[in-house]
Amino acid sequence: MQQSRARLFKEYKEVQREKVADPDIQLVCDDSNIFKWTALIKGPSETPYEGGVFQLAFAVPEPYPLQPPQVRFLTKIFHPNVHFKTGEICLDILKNAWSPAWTLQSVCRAIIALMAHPEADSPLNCDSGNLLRSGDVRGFNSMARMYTRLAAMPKKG
Amino acid sequence: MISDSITNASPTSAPTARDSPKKKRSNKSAKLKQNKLGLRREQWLSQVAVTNKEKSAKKPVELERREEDNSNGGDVVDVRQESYMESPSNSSMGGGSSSTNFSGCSSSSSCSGNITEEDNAVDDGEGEECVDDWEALADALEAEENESVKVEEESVREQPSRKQAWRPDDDLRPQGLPNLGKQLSFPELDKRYSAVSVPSSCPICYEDLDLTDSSFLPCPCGFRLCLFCHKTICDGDGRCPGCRKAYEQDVNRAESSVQGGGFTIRLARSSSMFCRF
Repeated sequence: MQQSRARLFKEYKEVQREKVADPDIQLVCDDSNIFKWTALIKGPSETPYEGGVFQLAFAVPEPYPLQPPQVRFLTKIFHPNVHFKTGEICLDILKNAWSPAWTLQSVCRAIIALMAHPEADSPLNCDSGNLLRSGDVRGFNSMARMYTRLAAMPKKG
Repeated sequence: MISDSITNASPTSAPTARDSPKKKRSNKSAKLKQNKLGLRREQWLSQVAVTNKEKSAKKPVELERREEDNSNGGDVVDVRQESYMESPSNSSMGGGSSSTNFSGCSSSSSCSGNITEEDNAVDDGEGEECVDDWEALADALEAEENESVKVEEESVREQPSRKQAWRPDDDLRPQGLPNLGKQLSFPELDKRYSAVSVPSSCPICYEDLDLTDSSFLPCPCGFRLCLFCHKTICDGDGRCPGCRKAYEQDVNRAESSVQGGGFTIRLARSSSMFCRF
């Protein structure tokens, strides 16, 4: 308990210091609870998510950093490894490949990398995975682009 | 300088000088050869000095030129004597090099060969005859070749110790020389620690690493962390955060895998440091 709190506090200071260093990630801590974090990440360029801003919710367990934080998308996203309704993310480093050396910031970077390189063989979103596995990249791109416009971009007008 | 060396060398070595050729043929053991070489050098030195004296007495007209020669020769003699006095074991090597300098002879034969050359030449009495009697010299060289080869082997065997520069504890070592051993040892240490970059804080708990932590390297991948976090991880899945491979020196794993009593007890004792946390 004390250990995870101290570590999260240090990570918070680190994030404040490195805010300018990574303009694609905005990591903020809940005012009242240091175990609740939210992050805003920009969709990577040259992907259907480009131009969108996606919100992530972090729930940090007490044994952190020995156990990984639970992360889910709050913003709707059409991606084979993200559950379309719950926003759950299928990412190995958030499960068995977690290492205590990772930080919330590095988890955000990993999620941005996952957005750029979807893994269609272990899908949480079967529709999205099936499009990619059948080779319909154009269909996948247009669907993902549509949901990015709908959910992750500021409404026009 | 010259007169010093002459007076010092001549009275002591003159009597032994006569015996040495016989000794050379009769003695076969290595140690005696070494002694004999030294003796012969002394003899040679004294004889050169004597002939120089004689020459200068015989030809007072050429005194000035002779003196020049003597001073050259005397220098070499002096050097040789010094080297002989300082380290008796070094005598054959040092003598060899300086004798070639002195005679101006470019023969590549062994050092003892050079010495005998000089010996014979001096025995003949005059320096000029040395050149005239060249063939006789060569014969003498050949006759002693077998022996000189042996001496050569000897000197080769002893070379490693001789070729070394001064040892740190050597008395003859100049005081001005820097102590390289000491100087090298510290930068090497520094290098070793800086090569694997030591983080200032533990990457797991972000606490500063103390001296014990920074010298603690639990995984061959080089990932460093504090002892506290290492203990916590070992209590859990026991995998290195850097490479995600199981820690090999994990106490529980080692104890469960090794059934032998002694080894297990030793492990437990050595790891008691971790258990205190």
